[in-house]
Parts: sequence; C-alpha cells; structure tokens
Amino acid sequence: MAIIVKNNEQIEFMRESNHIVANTHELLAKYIRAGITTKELDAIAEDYIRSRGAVPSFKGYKGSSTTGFPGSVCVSVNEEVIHGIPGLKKLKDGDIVSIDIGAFKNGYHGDAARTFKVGVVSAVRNRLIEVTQNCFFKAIEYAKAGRHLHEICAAVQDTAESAGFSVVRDFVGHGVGREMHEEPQIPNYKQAGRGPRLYKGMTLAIEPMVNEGTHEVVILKDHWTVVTRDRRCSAHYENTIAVTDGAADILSIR
Amino acid sequence: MCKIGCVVISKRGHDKGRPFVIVGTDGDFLYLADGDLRKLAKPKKKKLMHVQNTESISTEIAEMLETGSPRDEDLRKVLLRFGKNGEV
Repeated sequence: MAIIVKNNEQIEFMRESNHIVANTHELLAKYIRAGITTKELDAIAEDYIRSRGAVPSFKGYKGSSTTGFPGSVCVSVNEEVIHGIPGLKKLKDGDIVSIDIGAFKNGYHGDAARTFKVGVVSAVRNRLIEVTQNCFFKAIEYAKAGRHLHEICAAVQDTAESAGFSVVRDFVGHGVGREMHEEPQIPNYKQAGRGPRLYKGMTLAIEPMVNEGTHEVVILKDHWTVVTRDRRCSAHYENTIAVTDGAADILSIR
Repeated sequence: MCKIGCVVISKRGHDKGRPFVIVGTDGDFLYLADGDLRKLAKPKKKKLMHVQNTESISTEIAEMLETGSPRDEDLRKVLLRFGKNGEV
C-alpha cells in the first residue's frame, strides 16, 4: 500500500474523531487517582466515545493477534508499554499510566495517547513523561511537506537517548485515516536512508514510546500487553498530525 | 507499488520533474495524467522505470477512477500539494 494523502474535507473529518479522543483524555484525567481500576477508566472512556456518536477503534481490534482487543482503550501501568488490557488492577499513588485511545467517526479514525501521573510520582518518572512528550514535539518539527519520514524517526531517538532513556523498537507509529493502521510505519529510531518524502495531506500518528531502562520489550501471555523486559517504567505520548506546508497540524490537540 | 491513484514524478522526458496521477497500467507502462499538460482524455503512456514513485496515493482519485470519472480539475487539485517539480 501507499501512503494515502487526504484532502481538506477528509482532514476535517479526522479532526472531529481526534477531538473526541482529546476530550476523552481530558475526561479521564479527572478520574485518574489511586484506587480506581483500569476497567473503570475503560468504561468511562467507552461511554463518552459512544455518547459522541463514535465507536472505540480498539474494541475487538485484532491486528496481528489472534484474539480481538477486549477493551475500548489501552491502559498500561508503569512497566507496561502499550496495549494494557483494562481490568481489575487498581492504580496506586506514584504509578504512571499510559492511556491510548482511538475513536472512529464518519469513516475516519482518531488516535492519541497520553501518560498520566497518579498522585505524586518519582522524579525519574516525571522526567520520563516529560522527555516522551518532548520527543513528539521535537519530531513534528520535521513533519512538514518536503521533509523526509526518517528525519522524524531520528528526532525521537536522539531526544530520548540524549536524556538517558531508550526508545521501543518493536512497535512503531503509523499512518492513520480510514484504517487504524495505514502506511507508512514510523519507527521511533533511526532508519537507513531518508524514507519517503512527506506531502501535504498525509496524516500520521507519531507515538514515541520511551523506556526508563532497556529498549527491549516482551508480550505477556494475554497476547496483548507489552511490558519492558527489565520491568522498568515506560511512557507513551501520541498525537495524530496532518502534514502541511508549515508546522504540523496536530489534530488531536484542541 | 504503482497502483491507480498513486502519485508519481516523471524522471525522463520533457515533463521531467512534474507530478502525475496514475490513471491506468499496462504491464511495464503506466498511463499518467495531471489534468493540465496531460488530460484524462489523452493520458501519457510512460515506462514504469521513467517515473519516481512518491509512495503516496490519492484514494479520492482512485475511487473516482473506479466508480465514476474524475475531472481534470480534480487531478489538478490533488497534484497542487505535490508541487510542479515534485518540490513543495
């Protein structure tokens, strides 16, 4: 497949889906506290997404797994990198929780992830969250028409590693639009060559996943949850952007 | 990778550097149109090796080519973002 370029009308549809995602994140931020279970967060998110006439993109999503994803959102706590299945796990003070949300409306997906703090977190976890966010904003400086995809990849890795952290290799960012995962793949680490040229109208989900320790990850027996091999913390920050002639248009930030 | 609706940049010929949309394929040849120099009514037959794939596709045009006929104007609109010489 090739990278799909969207026209302005299609991008506006995507903006709507992404705004639902952004609102869901804002809503969940109010509920995140010690004692709440990840399943409760999932239910709040699902109710809200459906109340806005959208469908949670992740619910039942199979991807390369044999089983559909059981939750509406991915809730990954501490050493869980991504794809955490919402369950009875209670959040504790000092935890960091990454929430990845997808919403599908008008034929287009919105996709964004944030890492939240539960109560007061350690300095290193604070820094991990901050660096992950910086990786995204550094990367989008290169996400403009005429630049090349692999510049984005290098920016993420450089930012994370200069702060003493590592980037996950096994999971990558992606194009997004009518499909949840479209071309191109956007690794968070340096690639050979320049990669495809970016053109106005490409919509990309750039998602740095930054680990405190090793970059290596393992998938748990539930076939979904990805955790760091050394069980140290990981943070995730993702937004859907549209490439323009100038600064990237971040669709999932209102 | 060169499918109908994909945008390519000409590498050879007097149209070198111009972006086109693939409107048809025939073995190692592509039929290219840009709605300006090459209209849909008379697309340019060009060798596959004489174009550079931008790895981009306009599904809008691909759908139009499948279900109805796009207008030259639609091609021009899509190609605007690919610049005259493949430069933005």
